[in-house]
Amino acid sequence: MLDTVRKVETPEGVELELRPAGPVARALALALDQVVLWTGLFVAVIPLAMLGPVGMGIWMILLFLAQWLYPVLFEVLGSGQTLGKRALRLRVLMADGLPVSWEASLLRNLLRVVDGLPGAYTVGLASTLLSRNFQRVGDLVAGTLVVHVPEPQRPRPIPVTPPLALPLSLSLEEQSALLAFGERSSQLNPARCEELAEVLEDLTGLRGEAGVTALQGMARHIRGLT
Amino acid sequence: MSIRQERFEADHGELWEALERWLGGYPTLGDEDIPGAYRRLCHHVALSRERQYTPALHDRLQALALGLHQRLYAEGEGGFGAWRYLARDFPQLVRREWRLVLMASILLFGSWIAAFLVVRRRPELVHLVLSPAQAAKYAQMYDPATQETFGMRGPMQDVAMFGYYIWNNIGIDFQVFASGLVLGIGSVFTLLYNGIQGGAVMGHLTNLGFVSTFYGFVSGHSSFELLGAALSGAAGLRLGLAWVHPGRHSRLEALKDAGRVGAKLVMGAALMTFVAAAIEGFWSANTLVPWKVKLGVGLVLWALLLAYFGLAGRRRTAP
Repeated sequence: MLDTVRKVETPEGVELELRPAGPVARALALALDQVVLWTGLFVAVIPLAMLGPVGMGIWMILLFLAQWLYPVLFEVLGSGQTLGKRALRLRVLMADGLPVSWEASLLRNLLRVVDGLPGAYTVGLASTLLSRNFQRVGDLVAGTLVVHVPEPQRPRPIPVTPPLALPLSLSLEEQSALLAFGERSSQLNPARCEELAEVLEDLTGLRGEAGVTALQGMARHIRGLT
Repeated sequence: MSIRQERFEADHGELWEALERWLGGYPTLGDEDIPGAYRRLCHHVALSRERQYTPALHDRLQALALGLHQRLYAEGEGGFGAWRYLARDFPQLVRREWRLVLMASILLFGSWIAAFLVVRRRPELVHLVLSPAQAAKYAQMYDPATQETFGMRGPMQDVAMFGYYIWNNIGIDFQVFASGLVLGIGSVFTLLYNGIQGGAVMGHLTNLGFVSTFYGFVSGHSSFELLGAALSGAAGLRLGLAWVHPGRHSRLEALKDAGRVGAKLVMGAALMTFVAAAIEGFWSANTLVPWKVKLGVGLVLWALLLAYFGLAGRRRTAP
């Protein structure tokens, strides 16, 4: 099975699935955040320089906010996403799937100091690769996860064909394989569809396009479509 | 398959759609109906897995359940609760962690006093800590003869220094805390380093007789700045200690505990350093006020701060 799915059991007894994000997506998000922050700081220099020492003071406060508090504010107030994470559709969550708390966000972001040792996020990368859920040291201590935001699923209709009763009883697994074929067949090219359908020639007794149609009919039957 | 997926979707689609729209901010369901609706949804999630419905449906129900889970079990809307933290949680935490606070204070203030006494007794030993250039720079900064330029920093310059103190000093608090994770070495080192450096400078300037300028300048913000540094050090030591003395917990669990406590401590320490930066930026360099008054204000602030940590948040709230 997929090893990048973390299951969280809720008090209602169902398992929710989270998909922790790997180091590449996270590094890109981090780089994007840095580009945005430094561009902002750089642009801010111009008007602030005109204010003289006052502008200098304000700029250093901005620098402090950018270095330490920007990720915390965005993660807590922006549903777990800094701008970079938003762009890469990542999100910070508590390990139990809940929104990240103030404390946890502060902790995981302060501990970037440790993850950054001895330079270029070496500790963070090692920790991300070694831990089961792609957690860097800050995530481990704060009990947080960076996950992929689930993509909204568009319903994939099974092509309209007359439903066809199954000629013999199939196991659940076999039935869901047929369903998956039915749903995906509109996205595959016809030649590939026929090739796949011919694997089940024993079941349908048909070849070519007729075999595909028969399988789609069975899929519609399984789903209860008419 | 007991119930065809199509039938299942037709039966419950309305509920799912209502929940999806409720999450999107539409009042499709009353708040009081949500827990019941969520439990039914959880049942559907379990059924869809059990009956191996299609991945598209499975993912849709998963996403919906996760969204509701987060909404229902999230911490209260109160969020950070700044007032409660300052009035109760922070001083209570400092008292509860008194051993670590004491340890950090001994490292900082002990080395400070030791360095001060050594330099007072043997003035030439200041050069163990400060290079001649540094010693000369400090001497020039606090020389009453150059006080004119030093004191007339002006409000513009004050803002610049305020910004610098925030960026530099609070940044150091955070670094001291985080570097504590490496066996506490970072925290211990920074506490000792600042203590020895501070004590040596204080002894050196006292030897030179620059009492009014030096003590006048530092007294105002010393309480907030030094106690803030000690507390961020204590927070770092807590992290380091979790590695070497996890007690009955696994090391990771001990670290998580230490992290929770440490984050709360360092948050307070950062606030104190922020106050210190404001005092240092806008009050300490003021030469219009006689230095003895500034010393008095500094001592009052020490007393108030210590009273705060000793007394705040002790009263029991009525049940």
